[in-house]
Amino acid sequence: MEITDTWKSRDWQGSEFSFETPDLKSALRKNSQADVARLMRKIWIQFWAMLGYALVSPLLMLLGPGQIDLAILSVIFLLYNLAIAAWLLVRLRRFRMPDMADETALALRATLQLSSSIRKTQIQIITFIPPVMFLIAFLVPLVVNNPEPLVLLSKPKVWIILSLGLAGVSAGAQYLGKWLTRRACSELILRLQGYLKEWEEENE
Amino acid sequence: MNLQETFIREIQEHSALINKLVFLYADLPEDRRDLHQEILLQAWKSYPGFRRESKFSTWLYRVALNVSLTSLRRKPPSTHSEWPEEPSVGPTLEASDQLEVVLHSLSPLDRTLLVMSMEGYSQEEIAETLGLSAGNLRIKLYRIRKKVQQQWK
Repeated sequence: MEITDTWKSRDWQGSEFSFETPDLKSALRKNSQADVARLMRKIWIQFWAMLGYALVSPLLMLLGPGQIDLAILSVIFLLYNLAIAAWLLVRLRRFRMPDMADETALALRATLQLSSSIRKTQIQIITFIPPVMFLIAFLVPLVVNNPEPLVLLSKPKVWIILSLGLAGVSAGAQYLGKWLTRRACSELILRLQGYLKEWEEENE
Repeated sequence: MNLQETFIREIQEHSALINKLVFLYADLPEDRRDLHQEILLQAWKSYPGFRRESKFSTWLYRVALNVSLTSLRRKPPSTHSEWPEEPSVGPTLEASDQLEVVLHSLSPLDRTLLVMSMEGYSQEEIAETLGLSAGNLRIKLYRIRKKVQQQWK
């Protein structure tokens, strides 16, 4: 086809925009500043989300008014969300962002450290909470509803179920923690790590 | 050579590819400049995640195509279909050569199909990139070529 020949013979390499390398570099730097702001915004959103979850946690009790296990569950959720929200607030309030324009590398490093420490702690909590909740959910009804809990607890079958359940829940929680690490802002963090590496290499 | 320098070098080596897409999807000079800049920034954002499992040109083509199509969808008047059926802007005074006039008389999807075919992409690659069935692609390509042949005279 003639159109194909015309298309192929055209000089596509010669750019009509002729961007200069320094201009492009400056555009890319501006981009890293926007990404830092985006990451900080995401951390604040996390804080507000935890606070929101804490506020709605008591609603769990409406699923079965008067049920002790639901009440315990909603209190655990409430405490968990409140604790995380309070901890996030303290971390965010203490955080002092260096000036992005003057100390870009420092600001990038500080933001990455903050985000990494938040992620690490959250994962530790996520790994720790489910086994504890499982133990509570398993043992409380057993002790509360049973006239002779010690007799029941002396049965090997109960201990086998408890051990297997605990092992399963712990493995699941660890997997969930790792999964969340891979998901939470990982693309943004990866990009910021790339920017930081460049800044360090450029200023070496 | 750091990441940014590698990126800039590779982008400069493949500037033709970006220029082609900009030519295809933007008509006015300022739109072209904006689209060019947007493609560069999006490519830079995605660059740390580029694992070199495909060629740089293939990866860049996908990124640039996505940016171009997104920018087309943002243009008023908005349509409800994923692909605007009609050309977003008809041939303008900027369309000074026959190639530009003919390409801009096609809808964005048809334009992409024709150009990918002219670029030598296989039918499977085009179908996969654009999310079309092989049968639909063949019919579309046949119709586009027929239309272009009539216009090219």
